Amino acid sequence: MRLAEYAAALLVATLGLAAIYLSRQLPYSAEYGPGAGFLPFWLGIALVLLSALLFREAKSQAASEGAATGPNDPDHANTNLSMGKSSRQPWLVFLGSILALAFLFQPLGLLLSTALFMLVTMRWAAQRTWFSSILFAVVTPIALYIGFSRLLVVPLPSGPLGF
Amino acid sequence: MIETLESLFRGFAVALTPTNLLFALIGVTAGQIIGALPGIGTVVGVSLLLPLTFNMDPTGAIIMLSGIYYGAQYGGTISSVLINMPGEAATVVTTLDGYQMARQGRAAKALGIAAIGSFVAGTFGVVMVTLLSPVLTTFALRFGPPEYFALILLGFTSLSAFSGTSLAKGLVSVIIGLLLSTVGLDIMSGRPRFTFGEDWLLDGFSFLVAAIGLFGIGEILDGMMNPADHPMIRTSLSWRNSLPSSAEWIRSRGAMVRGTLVGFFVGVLPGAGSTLASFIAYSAERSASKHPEEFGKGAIEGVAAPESANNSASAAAMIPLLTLGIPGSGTTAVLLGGFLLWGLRPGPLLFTEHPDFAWGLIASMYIGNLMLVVLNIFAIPLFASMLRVPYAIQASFVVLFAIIGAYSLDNNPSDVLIMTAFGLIGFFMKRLDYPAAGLVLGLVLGPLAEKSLRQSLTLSRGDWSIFFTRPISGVLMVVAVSALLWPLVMWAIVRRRPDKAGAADVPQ
Repeated sequence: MRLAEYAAALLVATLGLAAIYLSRQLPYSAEYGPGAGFLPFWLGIALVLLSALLFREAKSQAASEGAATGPNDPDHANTNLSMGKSSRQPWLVFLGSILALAFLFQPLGLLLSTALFMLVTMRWAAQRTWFSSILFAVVTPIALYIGFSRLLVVPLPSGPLGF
Repeated sequence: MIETLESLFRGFAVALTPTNLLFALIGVTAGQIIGALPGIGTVVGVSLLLPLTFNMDPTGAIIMLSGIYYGAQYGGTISSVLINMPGEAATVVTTLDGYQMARQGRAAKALGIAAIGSFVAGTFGVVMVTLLSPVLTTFALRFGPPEYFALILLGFTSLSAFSGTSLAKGLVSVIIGLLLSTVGLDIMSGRPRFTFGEDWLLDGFSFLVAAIGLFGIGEILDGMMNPADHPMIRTSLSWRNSLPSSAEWIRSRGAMVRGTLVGFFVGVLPGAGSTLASFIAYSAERSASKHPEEFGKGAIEGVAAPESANNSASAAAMIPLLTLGIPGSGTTAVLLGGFLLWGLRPGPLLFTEHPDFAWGLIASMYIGNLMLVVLNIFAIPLFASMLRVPYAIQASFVVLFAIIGAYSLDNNPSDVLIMTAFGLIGFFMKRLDYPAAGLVLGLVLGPLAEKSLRQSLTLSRGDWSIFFTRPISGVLMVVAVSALLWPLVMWAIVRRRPDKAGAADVPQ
């Protein structure tokens, strides 16, 4: 777990350095006051300083954790980025479905993309039966269509088939 | 005073029209449900439903969205009491005594006293909004750029200090939000910044897209790591059981009053919010109680105090939002986004330029609180039954709303992708305890913060003392900086009372 904390601190430091570097290419001061590069430059400095603090925190946290609980502590499995084996597969299915839906929402249109999404998440993430998964996959898109496109008149993508 | 009453009556005329009453009812009911479902917080609720109100009348839309905001403070109690899982961050501390009461078969009593306390506190909060808003509005007209900058800084530092486990992580979140807000056209010179020649970056990052992703997708991915359903305590939830006995009433009366006052003063500070209010109210109640040993074992005061506090705090947070245009939390930041979408700029001028809107909203909060107390005494079994919906199904619907919400903001498919990216960022932030509310607040207030900073320094020709020599801004700056010392204070308190430190631990 410490690894993720360190990685985050490193990322913060990198962001800070990037902000400093990029803001140096903008004017630091304008005619009557600070310019476009002023705020991002100091934000970058602040991030670099804070990342040092984050490193220190992660280090002292690691020290106290190591002293208080052994590595085989069962509670440990539920903290931060690790998770129980049983929920790993549904979680990955769920993540994959979200990404697929995000990419396919426009090309496939509202009805098709949400039907696919519901079918997959109900069957493999929520572990419903085939019957109830298909029911969700049919009813949900229709309800969304009626609710959003018809009642609330929110324009939504219609997909290649025109619906 | 008379003028205020007149304005309030005008507000009631707006709020009592059938459509606005309906929107208030939809809002508070949705808020109640969103609050009750663990893993779907207020920010998600408001940001997911915001895009759907585009075709509505602005007053009705904001009445509905605010209803979600304060309704969720009521709803969060249900899951805290019945399944020991807080539905809202602000009801975390309610699990301590509320769940114990439920195990003793007193769930209805816990929910009843929470509803009554919430109503008393919420109404007190709205009365204070009514009385203080006009006063603060005149005060706010004296605000120049240094005062605005100091106030925003106070919001940033207090949010960082109070929202998470680590001050450094809070500050990092805020600063990353600020950095993201600098992408796009520079507000003062009009030249592009950090756009790398990409046209789609010229408009910068929409904070609504960010908020929907960070809170909607991020929280759901986090919740799906442990989707196990929590066993619900089965007990009669009839309204007859929910009214307190006279002994319970006497015990919780004082707790309600103290919780209400604590909640109000904490809530009115930018960045502090209802979660902190509920924690402070709980520990204050325990210290004031004649039988502190009963706390954590089902003391009714342990429910009454924090539940009152979180409601008066959420009403109090409307004061800086309406009068100064400065949101203090993730949810009020999203509400501010809602105002801006309709061209309503909260701040001192809101009350003179759009009095019907401002007072209509305030009046609707009185009505909404009344609706909520009725819902919470008579319709609890209905809301409790929603807790039986498996988490994965709830989660799928949140994703659908998030995608549709992000798309409908601008009919732009790339917003959906940006939203999803923020969702992944939000997931990692949540796991590593970086408060996402800080990022959203930084992103929302970034342009105003930068503008007021640069204007101030232009006024003073680069002299930083301008922030400290003007009276209002000087006081705000001192408070803002001292918020950074808060963790040190806490550390000292915990060290001094090692025996009580354990009681502050919250079951997650």
